[in-house]
Amino acid sequence: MAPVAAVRRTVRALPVALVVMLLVLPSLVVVPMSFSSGQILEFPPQGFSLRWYQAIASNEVWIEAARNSLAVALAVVVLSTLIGGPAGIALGLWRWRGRSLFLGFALVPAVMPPMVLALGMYITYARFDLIGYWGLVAAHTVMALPFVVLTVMSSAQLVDPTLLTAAQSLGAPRWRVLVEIVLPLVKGGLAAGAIFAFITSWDEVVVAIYLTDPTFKTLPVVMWNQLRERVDPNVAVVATLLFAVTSLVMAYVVLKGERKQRVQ
Amino acid sequence: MSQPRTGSLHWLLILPLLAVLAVLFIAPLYFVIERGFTDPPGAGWDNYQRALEDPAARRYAWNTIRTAFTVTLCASVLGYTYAYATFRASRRMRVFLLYCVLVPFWTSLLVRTYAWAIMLRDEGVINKTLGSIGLIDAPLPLLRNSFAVTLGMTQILLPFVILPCYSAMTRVDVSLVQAARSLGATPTSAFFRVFLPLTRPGLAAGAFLTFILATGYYITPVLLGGPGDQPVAVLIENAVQQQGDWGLAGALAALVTVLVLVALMAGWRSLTRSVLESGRRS
Amino acid sequence: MSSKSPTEAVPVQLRGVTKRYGSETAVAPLDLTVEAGSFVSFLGPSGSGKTTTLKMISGFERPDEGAVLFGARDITSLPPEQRGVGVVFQNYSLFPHMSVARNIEFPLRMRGVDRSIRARKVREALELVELPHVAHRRPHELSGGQQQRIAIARALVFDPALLLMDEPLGALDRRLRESMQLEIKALHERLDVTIIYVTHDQEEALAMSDQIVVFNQGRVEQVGTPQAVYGRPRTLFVADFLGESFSVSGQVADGVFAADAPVALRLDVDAGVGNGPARAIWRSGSVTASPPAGDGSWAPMPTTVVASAFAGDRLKLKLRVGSGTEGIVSMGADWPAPPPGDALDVYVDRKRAVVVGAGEGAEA
Repeated sequence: MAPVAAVRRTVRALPVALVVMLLVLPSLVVVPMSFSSGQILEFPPQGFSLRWYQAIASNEVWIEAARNSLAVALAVVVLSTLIGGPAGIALGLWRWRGRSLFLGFALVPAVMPPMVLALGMYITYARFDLIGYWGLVAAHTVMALPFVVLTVMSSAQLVDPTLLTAAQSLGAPRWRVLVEIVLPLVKGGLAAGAIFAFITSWDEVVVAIYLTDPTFKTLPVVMWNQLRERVDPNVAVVATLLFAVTSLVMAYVVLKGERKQRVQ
Repeated sequence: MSQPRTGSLHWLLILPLLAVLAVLFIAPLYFVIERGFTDPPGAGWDNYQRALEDPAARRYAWNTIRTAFTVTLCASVLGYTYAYATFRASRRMRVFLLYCVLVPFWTSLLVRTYAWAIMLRDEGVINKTLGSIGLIDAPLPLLRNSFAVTLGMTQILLPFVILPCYSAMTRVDVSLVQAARSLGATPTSAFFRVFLPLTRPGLAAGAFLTFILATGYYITPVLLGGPGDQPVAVLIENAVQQQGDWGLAGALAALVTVLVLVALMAGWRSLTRSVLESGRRS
Repeated sequence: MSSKSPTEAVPVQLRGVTKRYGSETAVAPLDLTVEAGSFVSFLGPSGSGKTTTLKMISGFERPDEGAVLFGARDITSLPPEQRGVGVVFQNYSLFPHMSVARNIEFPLRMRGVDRSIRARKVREALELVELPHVAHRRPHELSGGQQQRIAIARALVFDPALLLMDEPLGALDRRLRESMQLEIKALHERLDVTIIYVTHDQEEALAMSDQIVVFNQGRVEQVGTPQAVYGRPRTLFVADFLGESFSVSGQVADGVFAADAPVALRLDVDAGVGNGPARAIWRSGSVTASPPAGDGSWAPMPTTVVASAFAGDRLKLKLRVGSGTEGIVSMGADWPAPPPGDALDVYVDRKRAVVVGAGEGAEA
């Protein structure tokens, strides 16, 4: 009996294992490639060395690009939470006429083909001299907003409406109910939205190619150029560093979310 | 308790978003589409006629739609299966499986795509392994074809199916399935007659989302596909970069936008239902 | 907070208050005065308009017509946060992200009360509900009964003149509910506050109130003391809703009620009941199988047993009179329960009979 059951379990687990491989494999093969001692990006890598890490550390182009990306992404986080947060609250907290239409409108930028956005933004922003830093911030804010709206809306939907009634009966005017009761209760959604907004900007290529110029490049743009020209393990090093940081952040978020669920 | 009265407070909260999207999103969309009618001056519908009659454009359009359908199918089947396994798994396993869904989000899309290119090429790890154990004599053509594009895009879009499916599953009242079993349904028929219909909105939402996003993909087909896999986005790019033909680009952009909006409206009910309910506690 | 609160309890007056939702009338024109310092229950089934009326008093619903007055002040258009009314909700509605102390402090902060006074008031409020040790806990760490006590402390900490309670004990189990009823009543006696208490539980209303307002289909059926609404129901609905009753149908003509055949019973009735179909109603205490000897007011009544149930200290019987009305009565349990279908002669107390009209519109 036992071996038969074990075989059946294995057969059932097979598709899931395949999907797991599919999901994590590309992220994982990057890591060993970054420690290669060879000249080009390959897997399995030739030998082991830290030479490409040293190369990155002393390469102005990469460091500059990382600094630019970070500056854009942080501005995008601030702007998209400030603009998308209130809208997410309005969508999640109350039912009002035109709500689902507005939701659709707010989410459309996330599903628009990036190439269409890129061309449109390029010709429009150029008219207002919005190429470079602020142009990219504007573009990425538009692309990040749907994620902020969605996550904040989901957590605002969990707010018990009688809490708002209670707060009002205890003497709080409407705006104070929002600040004192709603805002602390949607904090989690805001944080998740902020993370999504950061990633959206940090990882965006197509629009960035159009809205940057040789004096101002972001990390994905530099990577894109590299991948199309000479392919050395620099890219893998950058990817590994980013992967390490974001994996740790994610592990923290997932574990914290699980613990929270257990408390409730 | 009924929903609280909002007065006009919600307008105040959504106004910034409306203003920002109008200026930074609608205006660009308008201007690029406008180019399709005004470049060259007085073009009218000429650019659209060119776009629709050009055999190359038709090929690119076919590539886009074929790829989007294939990817949607693969991602839906794999994603739903994976979500179901996650739903049925033990707590520890569930955390692990959910974590795996999120891993791709945190690696640069560019790098993930390029990692496939490295693994799939003739001297890549897959062909080398197969060759060294004697299964193949010549390297399999794994790169620069639809297989590579489908693989790369499915990898990227899988989470968009898995997450709404999983979320729909957690909202299913398990006692309904148990009731079906107690009424004589086999596990298989209980799944297909009760569980699947109850979670279909989540699957539909994920599938629509995947299809819509897939139609706009640019990076993955360029890095992994062959000449027969290039989507409309590439044609638009070529029109601008190589010919400076903004009129054609504008017309193509308008057509792609219409395609996306049509798909969005077709999936509107399931998408909004999935989105609006995902937060609600069951 | 002390028994001498700075805000004196005020009377609440509703004048012709009406609320419609679309074509549905939730509250028909309603006139009602709640005396200062009294404990008044709004009693009725769900959808009877009691909660809507409460919301119009707290300010969460605006009446379509009519006025709400606190004392001499018309507050009909005042938003809820400016009414200074304490509200206790069924699901407690404690703010989950704040400690118990922060919850209780909330209304004081909204009123700009000084920090040192706030701390003292919070301490006093916690002592009032006998939970001084939970100040730093989070609401979810407390039991349901404790959470509701904190909710009450929070609603009282700013010395409101009026406290509204919307089914506050609905989520608690029966035993806890009964002990909380006594606690709330004791609180009311110590504090100078008017309490309006919404419930659908007639025993709760009877046990706690100075006055009961019985709601049905958006109208007030009867207002009176618990004894009055229980013992002297003015309508069939009130009689049915407030507890077990036993009735016979008949006709009123010129101040005399004559039961339908086969029952031979005539009763003098109050001037309030007009001619036409009517019912004579008795509560459990005035129906018995064995009347005290030598008391001329007990009249015999032939009935058929429909069902019987043992309820500890008493027997519950469902009886049918002739071919007409059915009623439920409780009697002493010191005799074997008669099986269904048996004929049973019971005796009813003429002096304690209540006759109500049973014509059109009187049916619940």
